[in-house]
Amino acid sequence: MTLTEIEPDASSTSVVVHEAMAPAVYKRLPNHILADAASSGDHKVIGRLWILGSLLFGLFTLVADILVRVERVDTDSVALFTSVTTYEQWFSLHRVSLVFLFVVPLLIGIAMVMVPLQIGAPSLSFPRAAAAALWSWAVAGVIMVVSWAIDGGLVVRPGEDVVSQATQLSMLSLAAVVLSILVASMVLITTIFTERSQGMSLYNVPLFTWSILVAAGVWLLSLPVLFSNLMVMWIDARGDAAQNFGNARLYDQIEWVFDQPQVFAFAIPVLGLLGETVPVAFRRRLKGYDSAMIAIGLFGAYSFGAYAQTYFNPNANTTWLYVVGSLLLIVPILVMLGSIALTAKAAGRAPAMSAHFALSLMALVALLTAGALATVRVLDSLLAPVLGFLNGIVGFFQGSGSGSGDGWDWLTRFEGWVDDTFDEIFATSVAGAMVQLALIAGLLAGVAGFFYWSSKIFGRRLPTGLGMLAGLTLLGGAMLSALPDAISGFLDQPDFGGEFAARDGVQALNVISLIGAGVVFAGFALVLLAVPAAVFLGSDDDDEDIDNRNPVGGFTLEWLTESPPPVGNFDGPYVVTSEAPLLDDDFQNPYAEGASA
Amino acid sequence: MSGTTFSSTDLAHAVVSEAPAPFVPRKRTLQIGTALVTGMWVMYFGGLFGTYVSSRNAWRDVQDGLAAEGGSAISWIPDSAQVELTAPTVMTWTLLMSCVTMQWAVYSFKRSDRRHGLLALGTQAMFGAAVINQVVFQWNQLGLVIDDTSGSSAATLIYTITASHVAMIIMAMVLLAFAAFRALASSDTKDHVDVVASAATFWYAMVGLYFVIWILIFITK
Amino acid sequence: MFTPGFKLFGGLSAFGLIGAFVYGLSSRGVGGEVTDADYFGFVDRDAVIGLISLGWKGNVGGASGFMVLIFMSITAAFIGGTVVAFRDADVESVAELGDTPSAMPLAQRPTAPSWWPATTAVGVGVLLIGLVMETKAYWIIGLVLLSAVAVEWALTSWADRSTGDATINSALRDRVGASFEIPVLGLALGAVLALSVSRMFLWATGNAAVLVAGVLSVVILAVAVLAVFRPQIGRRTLNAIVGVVAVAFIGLGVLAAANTEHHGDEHGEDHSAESTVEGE
Repeated sequence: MTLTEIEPDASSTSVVVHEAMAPAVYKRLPNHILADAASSGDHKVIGRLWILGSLLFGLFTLVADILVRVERVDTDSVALFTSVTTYEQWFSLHRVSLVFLFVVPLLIGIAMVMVPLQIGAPSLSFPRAAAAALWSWAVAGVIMVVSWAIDGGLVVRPGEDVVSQATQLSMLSLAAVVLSILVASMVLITTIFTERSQGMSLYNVPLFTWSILVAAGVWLLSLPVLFSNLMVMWIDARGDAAQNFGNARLYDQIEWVFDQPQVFAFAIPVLGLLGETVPVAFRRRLKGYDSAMIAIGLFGAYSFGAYAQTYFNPNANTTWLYVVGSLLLIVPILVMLGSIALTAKAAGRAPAMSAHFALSLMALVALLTAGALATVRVLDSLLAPVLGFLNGIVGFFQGSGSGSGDGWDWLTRFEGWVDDTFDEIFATSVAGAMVQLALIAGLLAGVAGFFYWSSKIFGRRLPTGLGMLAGLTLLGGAMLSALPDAISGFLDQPDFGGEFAARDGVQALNVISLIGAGVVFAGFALVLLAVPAAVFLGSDDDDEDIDNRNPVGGFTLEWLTESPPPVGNFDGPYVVTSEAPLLDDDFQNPYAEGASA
Repeated sequence: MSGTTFSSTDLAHAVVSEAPAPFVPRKRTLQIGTALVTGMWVMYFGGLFGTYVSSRNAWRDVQDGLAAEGGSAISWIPDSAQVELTAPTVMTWTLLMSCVTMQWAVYSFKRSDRRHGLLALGTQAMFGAAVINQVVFQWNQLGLVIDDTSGSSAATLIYTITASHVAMIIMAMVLLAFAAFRALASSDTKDHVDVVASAATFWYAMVGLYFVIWILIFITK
Repeated sequence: MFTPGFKLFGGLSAFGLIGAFVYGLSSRGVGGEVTDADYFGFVDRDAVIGLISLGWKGNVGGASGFMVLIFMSITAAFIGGTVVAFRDADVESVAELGDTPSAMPLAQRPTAPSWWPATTAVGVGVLLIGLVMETKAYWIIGLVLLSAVAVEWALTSWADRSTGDATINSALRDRVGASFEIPVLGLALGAVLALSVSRMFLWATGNAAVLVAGVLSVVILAVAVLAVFRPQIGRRTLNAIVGVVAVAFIGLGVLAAANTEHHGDEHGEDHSAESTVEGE
């Protein structure tokens, strides 16, 4: 039998061939939801699985947060976890999973579904690589959590020379999680560059896609450094007696990832989501689109934090780059606010309130507050030399001809006040408050994306009321948990917490913070309930006046396809001329009913 | 939505010669993807080099302080280790030569010269294997132990950096194998220039990183 | 001239380079305060030499941060250079590389379902666990699994590019892959079965070994007879029977190996005791 003769296979089913966008997708296996999911190369399935995995890990992460805060209520002892080491394990697991198992994968999942749709592509560039990244992330994530559970984790055990296998497994599995996220970032960046529609230069891409390009680029530049930290740790731990990396302050070696400015890199898509929901709310193009793109790019640059490894250089957080970079973080956020204000003014009317618009604004509020806290943490490093310099100049002029003067008295007192108030807050729970808010901002952006694109992701619109309630609860809970931590930081509560001599009021603040964490959990539970609620209780989809393809009235390419989109996404390739093609007078959908060929 | 429905039996009985032309992916996709992966590796090594230089500087500062107080300073790389320049220098020159053969492979692919393309890739793989062999020899020659009692972390870092570089060489050789497979399996190598060009990009980055390793670890010690 | 992609990555590169210089200047001294500066109260000659020589000579303060920023600059410049050389891979630019510049090339289409990505994850999991275990076998198995996945994945990717019909591509992949998959799998299965049977024989001694040999032979013969004299049995049923028998063989082999080690430990202790007695 030659190669040209094919054996008939009775197990396959009929297939539909879409000539332009989707070839015959041959299915070897019978229809089964698990088999389809595990073997799928469709970016929508892959993206949904990322989202599902992140939500499941998210439940665990938020419970861990609550447990850690329960422990922090009593600062005199370690009652719940029975030992400081166990508390350290839970604290580090919460931080690590919040970033790498919850917020970042959630944003990646939404990007995997939406980026090809926004650029008019039928698929990702490397669909199987994206699937491999997903499954490797899931397996490595489970192994990571299990390794922590069997007494591993990134903690130092007093008197232990040989690093346990569980700890080594924690290092390796975290490295594998990071590598999976890097592969996913690579796939997203390549897709954005190579699969765009005709006429869509990078100047014309939707702002969410642009923010994903920036975010994935910054992750690609910074997370390999984390991978190198983990590899050095592990190689050292393999020795009979770990020397300097394998068994010494493990979490401290990678703490830079969970501190400013790097933590803001995980919130870059907040600005991109705003760029999507604001124009739709005001029913017009975003004013200052180019400025918004530049702002997102700058935010990405300022959030690169792989250089700020205080484990190797304790002075890193006092360098000008760190201080000025932390200050400048807030500038792009203000530029986005400016774009929103200009758009509102140009629209001349109130925005159409919707769950996604409200959620993206709440994300912005959380991000702004986090940015403010980041500025507060470096105020001493910024103001002390500036005030000293000013006072020096004043003193020079005061004492000219007869030696230096003493400067202005009020300036000297102000300098002293700044030093007393802000000098020691850097490593306190102000840091934890900032991290919490920055990551909750990322979570809110993800939830905003959920509600905005729910028809594309889930095939049904999610209830608006539930979305608003979930957003308010999440933001309220985040503020309730973070702001007391910030105040406690000024009362010298260390970021790590645990057992320490607390000043008056700290324990009461920790109780409020614990309540806030519970509220965050409740808000997240509302988000999880949104999809079954839409399925069982119905949604706005039932309204016949709503266009199934474009229920929110969006202006970008994803709103041209069905909800949910079929394999191949579109009826054919499109030609675009601006960032909001559905608003262009000269845009014609060649596949619409009645359109000329 | 336009489309035609076929039954699977019709499709299964189709003949390859009558099959529709294959879908040709857009050019540049693989090359951009490889550039990004190369960038990841470069940043990974950047982190390693930063750790190495920082740890070395900190060690020397401490030892200089001890020496100033009249104590005995311990060198960063323990005196018991044998850091010879021969093997690393030979490796550097081998890798530099491999750049020539790599470009020869790209040139051959572009000219649809399958024979010379495969020859170049084979020579390339040989150079890669030779370098890996030299690294293993070097590890035996160095005599470093990770849990050195002096407290210096030179061994850990040198092993991490050199082992990572070996992993990079292996990955580069896998890319060469993919390129060779494409050359063997296709009728015209000109259609697969992107694969060999991607492999070349990665290879050149690997060589550049080894140059930094050579200077950082073996020349400046 | 400069594409948006170049502007983005070029900007990141410029940030890295300028940041490295700023960081190198300001990360020296104690608490960031330089006490032995040569110029302007904070710039030291050593620092300037260090920055100009990219850390080769002089002193750049926090070397880890400096190196990371320099490499970030190099990496971002490299990516920026790549994307500007390709004009951001805009479809119009890519079309000019084809035979007909006016024909816009189509974007990547969805691929056929594949199990190899999920298998990669299994290999990664086995590798991770194997790397921390004492025995080398586990991570070697993980590495072998990943290597097999790489080969199969490359083969599937090649087949996907053979024709425009996914059914034919799948059949081609099977035809080419079978030429090495069947021998390799057959060899591996044969080796595992032979090892299992050998463990059973090592465990059994004397008449028990004869019994084991007899039982194994009868089972194999029974399956063969069933296949010959009952041709109406479906392929799936036969595959299931053979599969169950093979799994049973392997399982028994594992049990036998575990029991043999246990007995070996006991015998080892007894022998050492005996040798001690004999030595007296």
